Amino acid sequence: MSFLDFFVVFCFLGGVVCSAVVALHPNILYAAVALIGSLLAVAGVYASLGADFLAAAQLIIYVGGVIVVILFAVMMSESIYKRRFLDGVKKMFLPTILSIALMLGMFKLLVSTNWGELRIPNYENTTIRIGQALTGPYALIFEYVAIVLLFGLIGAIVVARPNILKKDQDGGNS
Amino acid sequence: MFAGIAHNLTIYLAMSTVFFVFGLFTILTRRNAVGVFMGVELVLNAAAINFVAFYALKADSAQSSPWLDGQIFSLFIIVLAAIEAAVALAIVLRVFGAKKNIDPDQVMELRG
Amino acid sequence: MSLAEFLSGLNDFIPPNVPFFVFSIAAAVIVILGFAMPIGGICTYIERKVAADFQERIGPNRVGPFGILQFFADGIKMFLKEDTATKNADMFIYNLAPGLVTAGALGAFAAIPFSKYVIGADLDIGIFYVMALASLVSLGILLGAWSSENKWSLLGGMRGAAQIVSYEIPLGIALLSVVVVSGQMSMIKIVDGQAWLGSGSFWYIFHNPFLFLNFFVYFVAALAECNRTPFDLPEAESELVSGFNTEFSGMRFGLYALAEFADVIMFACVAAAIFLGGWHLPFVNIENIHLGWSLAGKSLDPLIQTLFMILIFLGKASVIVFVVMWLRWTLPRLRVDQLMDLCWKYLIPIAFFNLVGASLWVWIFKGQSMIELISGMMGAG
Repeated sequence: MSFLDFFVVFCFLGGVVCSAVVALHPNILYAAVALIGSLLAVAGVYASLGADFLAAAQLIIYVGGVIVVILFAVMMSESIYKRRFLDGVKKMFLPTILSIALMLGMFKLLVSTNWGELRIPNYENTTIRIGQALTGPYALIFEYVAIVLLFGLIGAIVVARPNILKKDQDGGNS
Repeated sequence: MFAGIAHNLTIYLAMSTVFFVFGLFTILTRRNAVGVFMGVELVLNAAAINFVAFYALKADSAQSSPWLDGQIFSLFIIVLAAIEAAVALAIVLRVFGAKKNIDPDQVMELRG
Repeated sequence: MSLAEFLSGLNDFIPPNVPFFVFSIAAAVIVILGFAMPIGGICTYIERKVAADFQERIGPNRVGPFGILQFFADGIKMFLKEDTATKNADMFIYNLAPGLVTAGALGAFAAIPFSKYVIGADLDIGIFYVMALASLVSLGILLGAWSSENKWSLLGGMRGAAQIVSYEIPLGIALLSVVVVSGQMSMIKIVDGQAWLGSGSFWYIFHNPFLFLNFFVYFVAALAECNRTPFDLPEAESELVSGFNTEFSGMRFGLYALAEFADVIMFACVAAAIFLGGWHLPFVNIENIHLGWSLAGKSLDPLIQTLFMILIFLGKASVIVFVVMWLRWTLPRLRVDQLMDLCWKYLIPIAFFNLVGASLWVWIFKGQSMIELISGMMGAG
């Protein structure tokens, strides 16, 4: 067992535990904190699969950005985190059965297939190739994502802005 | 007992399976829009792990393209998740401001 | 070196029969006790001395010669203090938050090049990795503020998170413009691109006017990233008691203070490595210095060169740290709206303009620096 193996197993166990907490913990803030853990575990998996750039991007965008936004949303809508927010036992029945069945089926598929060896140890600088791909064959998609990002941001600002239309009606006091 | 586990696809796929199932479970059972959103993040990450892992399986073999396809897809997933976070949480804040509640089952005034 | 290669390479480091998790924990403890605490302690001492100088006081002078052992006494005091928490504090998150901050601030040091041969891990994604780990700090501040059940703390934490997330953008863009010029993200290669080779390649801050401007964008954004005056709104004493760390005491507070200093030093080191040429001096190339001393048949040159490199690098970094302390005792604090205005209306447009400018410069002049162009013109004339 090498350190890389240890690292992957560590990430796997951490990811499983944290995602279970996200799914099952009644307090939403703990779920958000557990989500940090599971995203970090995913970053670790990217790192061990040789995708450095992705691991760092995962840290910056998800952990530094998305999670902070989620925590802001949780803290700003104050009464949320004081309330249990799981469904009652009755409504949990069907999703639980479905999830267990799905997991068992997928694990059976996983174990029964021979996947073959990974080719990770070609330790290379992935940043250059990602850059070439983004300006080469993926240039159009890259531009498209950029436009979606722009419109998404504008939309988010417009939606979150408090009462932009009401302002004229009550004399600009709001 | 874990020797060579990092060079086998199984553990990565197992992790993504667990993420996917727990994410689905979260989406189905949470009575809170932010919680549902966290479930969506888990599902997206499960897909991203699969892209990267399957790319590593075929990397630099005869069947693979010279571009890091799997990693590029995961990169787009990360970026789109960021957009989704901005828009979804803006909507959540608006709904919370209007109804003091963010249970997705109870926000149905637009239902036809 | 990629991250996976680094992880596999750790194998040769670990003595046999030591379980991996024991090794990991031991490494973390060694880093905190042997690296972070002395640095943080010495930094507090220097900061107090500098502050005293600016206010015409003497500063700490009782413990040891010139009071230099003061930080030791402070550390012991912090360890022995009663560990208090508010009644309704969320203990799990309350304990987790200082750890997150410390992990973010200290983990980034792994990619800081102290000399050509002294670096934790020369990653391919060096700068990007540093930025990624530095973004953990905002989470630690926000969670610590929330969990301590104090309105001042929560206000400070919200401010801190908003500030750090916002200022990460100009910071990243400023660093990106250097990456555009150097074509590398690995720290060692970026620093080596600034060596004095006689051809006029020089520190990147003097590479072209856009990078010169971006250095100041970087400096301002880095000040805001590590919550130093004039951007210390998260812990504005006059408004928020002590901001996000109001309710923390003992070693938890110690970790927050340590992380702040580690952050300052880390950003100063990055500035020294990225913009100010790391261990390179103008007009000489350290690697060409051969004194010819030897010990037991082995040449001491590499050792001496390494020592020189570390000294030069730390010298540049400590000049920047001194400027940060100087600013703290000179400038008043900004208001929240001024802070956001500065970031979104000034720094980000300037940084983007400089990024485009630097890219055009590289494209038009084929990557030559200002000095190369001037010396080329003089040679032609």
